[in-house]
Amino acid sequence: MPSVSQSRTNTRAEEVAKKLKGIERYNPNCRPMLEEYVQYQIDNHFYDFDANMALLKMYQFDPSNFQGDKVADILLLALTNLPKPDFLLCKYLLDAQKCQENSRVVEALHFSELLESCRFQEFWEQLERASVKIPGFEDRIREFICQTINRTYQTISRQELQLALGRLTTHEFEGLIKTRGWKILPDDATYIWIVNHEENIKSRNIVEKIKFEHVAPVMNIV
Amino acid sequence: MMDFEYQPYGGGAAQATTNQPDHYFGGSYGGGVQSISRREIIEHFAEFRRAIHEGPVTLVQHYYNSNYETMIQNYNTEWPSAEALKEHVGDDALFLTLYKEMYFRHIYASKPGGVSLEERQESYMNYIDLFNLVLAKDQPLKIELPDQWLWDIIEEFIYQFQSFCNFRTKLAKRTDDDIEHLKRNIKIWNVHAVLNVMHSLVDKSRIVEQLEAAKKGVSFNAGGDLFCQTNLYKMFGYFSLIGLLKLHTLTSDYYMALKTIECIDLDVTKQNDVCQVFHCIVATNYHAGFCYSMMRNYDDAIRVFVDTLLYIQRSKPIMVAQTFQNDAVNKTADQMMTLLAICLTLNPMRIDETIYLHLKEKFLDKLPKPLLWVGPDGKLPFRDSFAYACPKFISPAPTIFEQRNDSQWAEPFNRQIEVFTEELQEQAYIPDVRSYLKLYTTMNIEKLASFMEKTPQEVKPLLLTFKHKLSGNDAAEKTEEDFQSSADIDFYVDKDIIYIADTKITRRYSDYLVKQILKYQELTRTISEGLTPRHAGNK
Repeated sequence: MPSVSQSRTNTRAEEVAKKLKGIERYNPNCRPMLEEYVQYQIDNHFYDFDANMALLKMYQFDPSNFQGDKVADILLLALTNLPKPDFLLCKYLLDAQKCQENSRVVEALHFSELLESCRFQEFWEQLERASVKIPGFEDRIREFICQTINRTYQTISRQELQLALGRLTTHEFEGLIKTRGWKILPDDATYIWIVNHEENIKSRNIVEKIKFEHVAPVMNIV
Repeated sequence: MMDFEYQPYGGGAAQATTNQPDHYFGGSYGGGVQSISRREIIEHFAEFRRAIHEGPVTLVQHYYNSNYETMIQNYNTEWPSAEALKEHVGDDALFLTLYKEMYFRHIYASKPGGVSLEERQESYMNYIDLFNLVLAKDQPLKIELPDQWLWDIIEEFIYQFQSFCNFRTKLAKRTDDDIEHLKRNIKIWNVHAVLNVMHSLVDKSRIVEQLEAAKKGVSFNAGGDLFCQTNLYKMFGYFSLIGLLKLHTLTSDYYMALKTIECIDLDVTKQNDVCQVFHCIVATNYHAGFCYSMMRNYDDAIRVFVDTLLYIQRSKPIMVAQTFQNDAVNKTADQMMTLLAICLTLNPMRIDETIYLHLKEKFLDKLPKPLLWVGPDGKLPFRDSFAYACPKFISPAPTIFEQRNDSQWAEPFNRQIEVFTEELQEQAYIPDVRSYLKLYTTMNIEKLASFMEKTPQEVKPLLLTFKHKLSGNDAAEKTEEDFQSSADIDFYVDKDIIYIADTKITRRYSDYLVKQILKYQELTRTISEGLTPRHAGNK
């Protein structure tokens, strides 16, 4: 993730964190600051889950202040942190009815469903039709998809992988493969080698190890 | 196994006292009386007050416990009002607020017909008075109260807040008068006030700093701050952390709930070092485990539940004179069992044998399989199990008084179970995939697809979802220990073939055999001693 002056964003994060300490977290006066901060995160390729949760909490305490668009932004940012359950945690705090009233929130909920059930190809198709204005959003989702593929596959078909990663040019696609250390199989270019799972995922038979200390008390009897 | 057996007067706690001598107190209340006379109650409290001011704290504990033993047995005895007591004990503001706290607690627990709005308001004002007395001084209060009592105060405070939220949202039964009164007094039992109290106690005691220092093994430097060195404040601070945990869980903010107790090690032995109140540890772990399950961290949830259930089992002998808390502990234990059953259904793994057997017997059969199975009436039976096991959620938002029905009361629970059900729906096919994979060491994706009556294209996302939802760690990092308690099955996909690895753990016999050998040796020795009593020196 390109860091836009990391020291600047870190300072801002610290300032916000200070304002959210203890009981101040629930002070309604913080709300405008937190709402602005969501946009700041988007503009600066940055993510502050704690602050976003504080804002959602304020909406929960006082539903008359509910801002559908801010909620949609927070949800999309949460998606970029997959596979962590940030999105799920946000969902629990949201009023169902208010969510249905904002089309961007509904869209975000749908994205989550697709990503959580790993229907990646459908996700990219949905994304085409939507307009998500978060720079770096696609890259971070791709990162999640790559991680999940890494966990599951040792070798995957090229076509499959391309569909899962969404609209990339051949050049971008090959670049990504290189960056992740994946390899096109020399003898069969339709498959791509991901990682060696054979080493680690093996049937194990865990046999009890009887330590001497366990049986020492009975040694003199037997 | 979890049934509460201790009966102090040989009768159910809800019955009025029968004519039995008062063994517990050595006859200080007179033997064989149907109810205690008013005079005796007032004298008792006068003594109680003296104990509070003069100590020692063990005497206070005795009086505190005995209040409930005698008073609860006497539902037909009304507690004297604070004004009546004032005449006898004088204008002791601290004692009177403490007394009123117990007085209202008794009303909440046992008043027929429920608590009135006026009583709720009075109780709230009393709590504010009490916490002001505790917090507003330059010097710590000079009294010492037993930890159990401090915990009960915080617990009851959160409970009454929860009760008030229910009261103000169950509008179908509210009278017009009540509604007018509620509208005019929205500050009563306001969520911000409750949060403020909790945070003030936490800050005053600097409990988070103290706990973190303990965790790191360094000593905490109070730097001349008397408050954090006083046990009263320290424990109030600790219990407030748990109070916040509970409050955040009730308002479905699982993130904040877990963050609040970050400084607390959930291991029961570690918790016992700081807090010896049994019910507090159980409540802490119940809420923590629940938060973990809601955020899909089934491994940690299972670990915490099993740990706590074993702890409750071990502690049964201690659950003796702990008054009305025992019923609460037993109920929480049952709730944890139900949640454990749900988590294990979603994330099967090996757990302690004794807990597993008990679980299988009583709880696993109650859960429908699969969890999302729809009954003939179109409803989801697992909702009932979840409804029993989950905390009773509340909404912190202001009440809309125009909607004269119970929908605002039901909404928090409905929302939580809806989201949880959606999560389950995303995982709906995982149990099937697991059961098919368990049958083979390798399987073609096509074959799995035909078993599941789906196309290979539909099955591939299921495999990815399996990995996404359920593998917390990478297989490479797992140690031998982790395997002892981890998921039973793992796999990877190579081109079109699934390679499956399962973990078989052989039964541990060594402990059992050693125990049996020692038992028989003991038996042999007893028999041979019995046969030759005068030759005790012989083997």
